[in-house]
Amino acid sequence: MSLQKENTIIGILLFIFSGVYAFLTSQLPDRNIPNTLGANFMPYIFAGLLAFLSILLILEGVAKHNRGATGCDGNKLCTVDMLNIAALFGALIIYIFGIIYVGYLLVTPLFLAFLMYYGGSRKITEILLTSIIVTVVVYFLFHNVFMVPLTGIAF
Amino acid sequence: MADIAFTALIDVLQFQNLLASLGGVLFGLFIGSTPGLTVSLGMVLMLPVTYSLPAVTSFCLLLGMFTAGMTGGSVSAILLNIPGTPSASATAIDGHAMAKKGQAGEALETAVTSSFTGGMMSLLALVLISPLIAKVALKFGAPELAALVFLGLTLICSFGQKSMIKGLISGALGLVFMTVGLDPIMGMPRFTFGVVALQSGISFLPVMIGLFAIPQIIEGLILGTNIIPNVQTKVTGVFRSINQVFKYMRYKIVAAILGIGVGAIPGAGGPIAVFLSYDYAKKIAPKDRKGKFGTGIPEGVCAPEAANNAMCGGAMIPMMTLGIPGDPITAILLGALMVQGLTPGPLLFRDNPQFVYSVFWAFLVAMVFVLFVTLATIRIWIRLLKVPKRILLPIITVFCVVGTFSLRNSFTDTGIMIFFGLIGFLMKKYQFPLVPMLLAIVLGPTFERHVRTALVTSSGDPMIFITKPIALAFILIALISFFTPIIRSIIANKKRRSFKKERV
Repeated sequence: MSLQKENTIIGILLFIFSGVYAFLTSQLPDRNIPNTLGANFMPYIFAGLLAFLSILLILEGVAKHNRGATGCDGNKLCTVDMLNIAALFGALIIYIFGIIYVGYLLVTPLFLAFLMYYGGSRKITEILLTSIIVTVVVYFLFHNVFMVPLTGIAF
Repeated sequence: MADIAFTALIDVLQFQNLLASLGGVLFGLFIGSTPGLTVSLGMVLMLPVTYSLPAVTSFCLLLGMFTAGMTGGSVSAILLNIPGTPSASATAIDGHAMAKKGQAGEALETAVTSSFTGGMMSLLALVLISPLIAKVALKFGAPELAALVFLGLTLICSFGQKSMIKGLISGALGLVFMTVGLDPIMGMPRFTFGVVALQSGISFLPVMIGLFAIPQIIEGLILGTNIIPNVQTKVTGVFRSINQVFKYMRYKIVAAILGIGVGAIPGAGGPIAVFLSYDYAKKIAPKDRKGKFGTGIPEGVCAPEAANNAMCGGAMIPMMTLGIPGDPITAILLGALMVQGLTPGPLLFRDNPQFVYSVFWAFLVAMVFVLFVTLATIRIWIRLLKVPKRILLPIITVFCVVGTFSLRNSFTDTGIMIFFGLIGFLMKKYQFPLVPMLLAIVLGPTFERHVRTALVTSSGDPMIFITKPIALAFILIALISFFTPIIRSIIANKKRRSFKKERV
């Protein structure tokens, strides 16, 4: 898909988003205090602005497409990349829940090992040493020096 | 007066004070360069330590941390394109581009020496004209502040280099996201969907880490893009690079004036000065350099860095002369003063002139330490890049997660960071600039608060923004800066088309 087509689709999605945002804004309660702007004043302006700009993006995309402009297609993602990105985000979410329910000290070495393996590291000693040392150093720094209440082990 | 200043200097040069300053500088550099850790967090942590220290020693420690933290933010911005502080996101634009070209050493040297120049100019302003600046700064009410922030928001145009519309959309999305949370005037929840943690709004730090760090991690770890700059860079060495203090002076002077001015206005917000200075640097640059901003040129690094550190002295002006803190950091400094039994404000100058001079000297010593320590450690910072990315990027990911959590000890912030990481990645993929969104999220809440406060005071009459001369001046400048690039690009497009037609 050319960049112009992509821009048109993004413009349509943003236009829909601005509509949803405007609808949600209209649902905000109004206190009706005289001479005072309600909580929905700014959101309405921003919704209008976003809608206007998305229309401009759609028009720009259509105009350039009709002129036969060819976009930069160099940054296309293949399915494997998309799956890998989804896996990274999945790992991040699992890591956060892991810190809450299992504890930072147990989950972080596993998370680090996973990322290092994903990044191409294949030496077991490198993975083990790095993940354990980094986990302990970061824990000491944040928990003991910065007094951040990180749960070491949750049970 | 000279003897008081001299005694204050001798006091600051005591071994324990120099040690405190150096300690503060080292800690500040670490805090500033680590995504998620803020200078204010570091200073809050150090505040209890200062209770048992003499007043001058505690100020040496805190000022060292303050100035170094501001400089430290640019280290990770330049080397990894992950700004340590919001202000450093402007530095990242040209700084990281320079690093990618194999000029990481030069970019860091420019950043450090510019920070020093900016800081020195703000110190001069603090010593010589602080009462005057404080008087002008106090004339800023809600309409003037709203107009100033509006001026900051119009800079969004300058960062949408490839597509103006995409830059503006990025900014508009930022403004939309910043409305999440309690309404700043009436305290009504907006778009929180019943999530209590969202009531405090979206803090710009998780947004910044998400927008900048996560796409870098994805690109480096999954897509195999070479995001780590070329480490074969030239480092001039401490004493040779000090010459750079006097390079690009016109950019630094303009940036420092903006930094001091905006820093002195309580509640204006530091990032405005940094982004304004970047924009003005572009405007005052010679024609052949104008188009090169964003591609990795030292001018694009020196302007935001000079403004960044000039803001330190600027922010201290209302704190020292009037006892009004302009931002969280000066509020902590104010607290430290009070802990020592000193009352900030005009009386401080009359009752404790020696302490006032000690603060000035401590600020100077801190800046000198920041200059030398950072220049001396540039090689070490760059050597960090030699760590293979399969090891470096996972470590950065853990720092991002834990650092974001540490902001408010809340995993909601970590969730926000991941959400904006995804947004940032998609925006990068579809060539939407990231800086306008960050700028809008940083300035948006201040803009809304001041606009609505101004309208409440005028009983809803929008003429308040026009009848106030300072506000009107800012609005006019904002409109000129907003429309000039648009008109220019329209003219350039027309010229290009007519040129093409002629060729056909």
